[in-house]
Parts: sequence; C-alpha cells; structure tokens
Amino acid sequence: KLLDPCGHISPESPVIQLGSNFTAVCVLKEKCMDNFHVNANYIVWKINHFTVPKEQYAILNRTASSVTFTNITALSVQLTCNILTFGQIEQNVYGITVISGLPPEKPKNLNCIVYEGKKMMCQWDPGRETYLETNFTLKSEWATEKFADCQTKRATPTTCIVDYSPVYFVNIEVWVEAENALGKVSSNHINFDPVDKVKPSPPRNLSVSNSEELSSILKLSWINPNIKSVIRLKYNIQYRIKDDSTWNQIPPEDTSTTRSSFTVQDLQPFTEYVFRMRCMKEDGKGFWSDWSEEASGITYEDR
Amino acid sequence: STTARCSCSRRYPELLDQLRNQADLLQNPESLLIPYIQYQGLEVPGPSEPCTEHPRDFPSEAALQRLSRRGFLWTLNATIDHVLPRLETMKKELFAPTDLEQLQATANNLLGLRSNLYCMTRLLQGSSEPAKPTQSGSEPSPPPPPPPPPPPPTRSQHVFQAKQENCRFLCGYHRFMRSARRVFSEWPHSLNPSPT
Amino acid sequence: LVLDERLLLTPELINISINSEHQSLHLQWTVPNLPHQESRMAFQIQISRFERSKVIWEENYRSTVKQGQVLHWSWESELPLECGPHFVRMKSEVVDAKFPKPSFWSSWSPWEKVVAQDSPGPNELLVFPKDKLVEEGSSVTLCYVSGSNLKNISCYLDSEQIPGERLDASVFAFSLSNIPFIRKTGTNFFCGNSTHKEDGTVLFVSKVLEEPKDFSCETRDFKTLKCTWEPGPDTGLAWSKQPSQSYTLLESFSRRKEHCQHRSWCHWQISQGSQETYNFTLLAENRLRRRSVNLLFNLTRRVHPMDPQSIKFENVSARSAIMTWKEYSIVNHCTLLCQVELRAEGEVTQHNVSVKVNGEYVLSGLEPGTQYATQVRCASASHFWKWSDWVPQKIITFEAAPS
Repeated sequence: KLLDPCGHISPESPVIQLGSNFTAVCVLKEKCMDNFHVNANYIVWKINHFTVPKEQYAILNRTASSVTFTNITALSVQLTCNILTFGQIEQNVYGITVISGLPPEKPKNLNCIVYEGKKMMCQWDPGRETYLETNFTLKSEWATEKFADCQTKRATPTTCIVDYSPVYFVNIEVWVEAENALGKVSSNHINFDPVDKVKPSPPRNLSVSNSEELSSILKLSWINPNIKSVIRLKYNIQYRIKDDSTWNQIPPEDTSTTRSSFTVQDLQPFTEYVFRMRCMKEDGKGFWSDWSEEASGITYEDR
Repeated sequence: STTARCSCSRRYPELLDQLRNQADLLQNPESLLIPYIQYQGLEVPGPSEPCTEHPRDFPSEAALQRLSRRGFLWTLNATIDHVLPRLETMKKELFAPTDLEQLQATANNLLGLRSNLYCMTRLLQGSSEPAKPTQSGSEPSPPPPPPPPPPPPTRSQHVFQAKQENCRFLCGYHRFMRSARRVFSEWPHSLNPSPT
Repeated sequence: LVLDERLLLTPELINISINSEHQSLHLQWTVPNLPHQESRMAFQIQISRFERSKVIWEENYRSTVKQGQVLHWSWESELPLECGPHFVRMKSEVVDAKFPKPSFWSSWSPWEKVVAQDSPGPNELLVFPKDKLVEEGSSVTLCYVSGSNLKNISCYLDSEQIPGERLDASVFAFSLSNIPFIRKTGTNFFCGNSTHKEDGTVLFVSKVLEEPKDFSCETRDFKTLKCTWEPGPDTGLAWSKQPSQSYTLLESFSRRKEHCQHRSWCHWQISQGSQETYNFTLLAENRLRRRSVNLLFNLTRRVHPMDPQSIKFENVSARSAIMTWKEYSIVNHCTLLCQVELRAEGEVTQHNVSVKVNGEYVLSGLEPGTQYATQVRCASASHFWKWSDWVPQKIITFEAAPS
C-alpha cells in the first residue's frame, strides 16, 4: 500500500494568475496527530525548501493551517506542508506544485490564405506570453454547416491548416479560441469568401518568341494556373536586359484581364531580355502568386 | 448543425453574385458528366450525345422561370437534397478513383450552394418581395412539389440501363444548374426592385 | 406391329430449363414402355431456332436406361437464347447386345418450343446477352431483336459501328472474336436508329488470370513463413461483376489453408511441431478461372536471418578488439554463418564466423588510434538461402602506450 500521507494540501494542483494572491490549506489526519502528538500549530510551510515566515500562516482549527502568498511572481514553486514531530524532527506531510501564469489574451489580426490546390491556412497574433500551456482552436462555419475544429500543433501554435478543401463563393465565418487553465477567449470573427483569399500558383511554361518583322517586340506566352476556371486573373509582367539588375514593369492596366500571352514592345533590337510574371485575382482580392520561372529571349536584328 | 446566423452575407448583390458563380461551377459538365461518360465508356461517335435528360428527373427551365424568388430558392434546395445522396451512391464504383476528388468538390459546392440559398432566403424574408408578374397577373405559382427523387438504378436493372440511367441523371443535373444560372441572371440587381 | 413399337419407344420430354447466364438448355426426359428392366439406348436430339425447320444442332447421345428413369442432357448455345425461340425433339433406339432383335428408331417426339424472351413490342429493341462476363481474347456472339416498326438499326461496340448478320426477320447477330480488355466498367454494345432510343448491353471483359510467378516462401524467425509471388494483372471489374482475384495458401501435410489478404504476399503461422517439409499450393481464383502453383521445400533451407543486433566491441586495445553481436531470431533453430567485414583506409578484409546465438570475432593486427568501419551479416550455415542485411558499426583503437 502506498505510503499513507499524514494529511493533504488543497487546492491539489493550482494554477494561479501572476500577481494575484494565493492561499493553501494543509489538513492533518487524526491518526497522524495521535501518532506524532501534533496539531495544526506544529505545521511548517516550505516553498522550494525555504521555510515560509510564520506571519503568513493562519491556524484554522486543530487540524488545519493555511498559508497565504500575495502578488505571486514565480512561475512554478514546490509548496510543502511539514510537521515538527517530537519537537524537532521535521516530517513532510504533503507537497504540491504551484504554477502561475496569465489567462490568454484575445487573439488578433486573424487572417486566412488559400494556396491554390491546397487547404486554407489561417494565422493570428496570440497576444502576450501566458507562461501556461495555451491551446488555440480555429473554428469555422457556414450558415448551414459547422466544420471540424482545427487544433494547432505545439510547434506552430499560431497557424492552422483546416482539413477540408476550400469551397468558393460561400461566405465562411472564422474565429480563434484561446484557452488555458486561467481562461478562454475568442478572437473577433472574420467573414469572407475563400475566393477572395486565394494565392494562385504562378503562371508556368513561360516562353518568349521574337518577330522577324519587328525587331522591337518579344511575344510572351504561358499557361495559366488551374484556378483560372474559378477566378479571373490579372498579372504583373517584369523584364530586364540580361545582366542588368533593374526590372521594368509592364503597366498593370495593360495586364489587368485573364490572358495567356502578351507582346512586349519598345525593346532594343538584337538584345537579350529576361522576363518573369505573377498573377492574382482580377479584382485585387487575395494574394499575388509567387513569381514565375524566368524566361529569356532575344529581339530580332534591326534591318 | 446549429446554424450560424452571422456567417450569412448581408449584401444582396454579393450573395447573388456568389449564387451565379456557384451555378456556373456546378453546371460545368467537366465536373461530373464527362468524367462519368469517359470512365463508363459511353462516348458515342459523331455529334450525338451519349444520353439525354429524363424529363422527370429535374424541373424544367420554364417551370423554374414561373416561380417567385423564394419558390425558386426552395425548389433549388429541394433538388440539392436529392442530388447529394445520389452522388454518394455513385461515388462508390461509378467514377474513376482519379475523379473522386472532383466528385467530393462538387458535393462540397452543393453544400455551399445550400448555405447561400439559406442566406438568400433569409434576406428575402426580410424584404417585401413583390408578386412576380405572371401572365394571369395572379399570385406567383406556388413552388411545385419537390421533384420525386429519380430512383437510382436498381441492382436487378441491367448494367447498360443503369449506366444510361446515371448518365441521364447527370445530364439533367447539369442542365438544371444551367437553367438555375439563367434564372439567377434574370434576378433584379437589388433586394427590393421597384415594381415595373 | 413395328409402327406400334416405334410409337411406344418415343422418348417423352418432361422438362426443358433455360440458363441464360451460361446460354444453355437442360433437357429431362423418360422412355415409357421400355420392354426390358434395363437396356442400352441411343438418342438423337435435334435443336432448331426461329423455325422448326431450321435445325441448328443434332447430336447422338447413348445411355443405359432403366424403366422409369429420368434422363438428362445439356446443350450450350453460341447465340444468346433470348435471340429467338428454340425447338427440341428427340427419338430413341435400343442398341443393346442382349436384345439382338432388328433395331429401329422410334418416332420423333413432338417439337417442344422454348422461349427465353418474349418478342419485343413494335417500337422496342432488345439486345442480348445482358452483362456477360468473358475473358480477354475469347469470342462472343451478341444479337438484337427489334420491333416491327424499327428500321435502319445500327450497332456500336463502344463508339465503333460494327456490321451484323441477319438471322431472322428481326434478329441480327454480331460475332466478336479475340475480345480485348478495354476498361473495368465494361465494353458497351448498343444499337438504335436516328429516331429511336437505343438499347444495349455491357460486355465485361476480364483480363486473363495469370499463374502466380516467382512463388517463394521464407522464414526470418521460425515463427512465421512469409510467402511472396508476382500476381500479374488485377482481374477485378466494376459494377460488382468480378472482384479482384483471390489467393489461398494450402499446405498438404498439415492440411491447413490460409486465405491471403494481399495480392502478392501472405503470412503462414509455423505451428510449433516438428514439421520441416512444406508442400504448398498457391491457388489464384476469379469467377472465370483458377490457377495454382506448387512449392515443396524444407524449412531449414528457407532461413533468411534477421539483421544481427547489439553489435559491441570488448577488450578494445591499440591493436585488437573483440567484436560481439546477437542473432535473436533463430535461437536454437540453426547455426549461422556470419561475415565480418573490416574497412580501413580503402583496404577491406572479410572473415567468416560460425554463430549459434552470440556472435564473436577477435579483430587483431589493428593500427593504434585508427578508426575502422566494420559490418556484419549472417546466413544459414547448413543451407544458404539469403544473407541478412549488413549492419555497420565503427570502432576506434586506442593510441599506442608511449614506449
């Protein structure tokens, strides 16, 4: 039979808010009091093996003594209740760990992104350090459907990738709940259509071709990402002379609609140019894709 | 699931635009009919279609046009309720494994459409929808009783007939979504259109 | 008198049953008024199709017949039975040496009409057989039966139009040979005309079930045998027409059987007896075919030891060390031959060691302060089957003591 303790401390495993006060009570068992001829007066409180000043004690009754701490600052301490047996031998009665921390703050700046072909990822600012194990849960729902909670991983406590595929053209309500031993709090709810949070894949197979007739032009063609079947796209197209470091950009208004080719004009003849491009939703909602692979081409010689 | 009232968009034009986009997605035969035809080997030579819609499967466009906005939303919702279980049974064996992701996306889009229908119904409830002018000027025709869900092919039915039955169902489903898209495109741009 | 006897011996057809899936007719008949308790008889059976006069099959069948006995005979049709009505009649003759009276054929029994499918309505088109399962490379005959109003009917195999042969006023047949496997959901055959909706059927063409190849079994711990094989193509078909082929292990000495859960391997629990020799049959089965391969072997000749474990070096000095390892898997079952390989500065030396449980080898002649890469592997000493994998371990000899 495990060693039968002579008493116990309550609360058992407290979690206390930093800066607050804390009182623990040690209650002795009658059998032990008889065996060791002791009572509550004989109780000695220790914190991390240091004796607590008697001023912080209070004898509640024959069997119980309390100890109070104000403005707790330590994050984790060992609190023990001991008795002086036969006047001088200190005998441990019971021990607890007192953990302190802060309740979670309201998560802020909640935002979500839908990488094309992948599941939606949301991230947020968790607020201050709580010094406690704090769980974040991403919640999401439609007007008629509630989706499974997204539990964050310990390694990435402020992001979560939902486990369902994005459904476009339906507003979704998303918020984050933060919870630890000292409390639970929700972020503001955000309401959006996932189609406005898309980061498309970059255009691919970018190729450049010159024109024998016109030495000042180069024609670009590419394959749009699959998301074009759902959203209309606009582009940024940049080019530079090979070995030059400065990128020039085609005026955005010239590339503001879905297309799969573009002719760059006003180039120098017989010169090698490097091109890159990216795309995003036509109305500017969502995120730019990464830049495409670079492609280069040489303008034709002047006649 | 308890409905979250606040995730509904409160802006009629935005919600209508979403409904139109959804109908666009769902009417695309690339999503269901074409993969099904290819997997079942139902392609036929020449211009003719592998199958034609069965009139009983889905309400006609004319019937949809005659409905009030609320009646139309109600019919659309009822139709989704008999398409979803049918897709579930078809998922098990009638699509190529490589098409299952697309099938799931269609089911998700249908659930999304149902959510938007719910929101639009609530928006319209808040509005004083004018009586839809019908030829006889009477109250707009009440929504037709929900179309009887077409019986999925029975196991005793021969496979060719079952293949055809599924093909006709999918054909009707895409046509129905095209009709819904056209009805939505004729909806007024504002919640309370001034009576013309 | 002869006329009466001919009538008396006319067989009496009591039942003709149809098996559509096998396209077969099953006849049952008796010979009333047999003059003897038992006699050897010959029967001539005729089968016609569409009309009584169009005999398509004639066969002689001999049997010993007892009085009152019901006789059976089956016939498989190349053409689906639904393609048209069939007619059956038969006659008999006593051909028994015990009764040398001049023999004579009885009169024909009356034609019995067999209808597997009612005639289609005027605007109806019916295609047969329905959902037939055939093996790739085989031949099959399809047909359509059309209603009186239907003209200019074309038929397609998947999307290719194919010509037919007219068998009757409203019946066309299509003979296909060496049918290829196209897809798991079957090959579609359908007929119709520009105005009329078509009817069709699906031919489920199964890949040919192949004999499992490279069938082999081995044990790594004398507790379990793992048998592996090359299964060949999966013959499973959609629409629940044919599940993937199943594999079963049967062992003749123990008469035990194991249904395998995987297409290319199977575990077999070695029962703690003294059985050393195993005679396995691996049975592959689908709805159309069975294939089997056999394997007779002695367990001790199929030992593939686990990798050596707990490699340690003891008594390490500047020039030598004792390398030890363990082989738990084959404790007390057999002796192992282990190879120890030593590698240093490009030079490789290899040594063989006989091991029961604990492997040990003295590495000598080493250079002080040198790192050596060693590795060890083991195989059965008595009958080599397979090496375990190499297990590497590094050792650094001590510096030489200052002289």
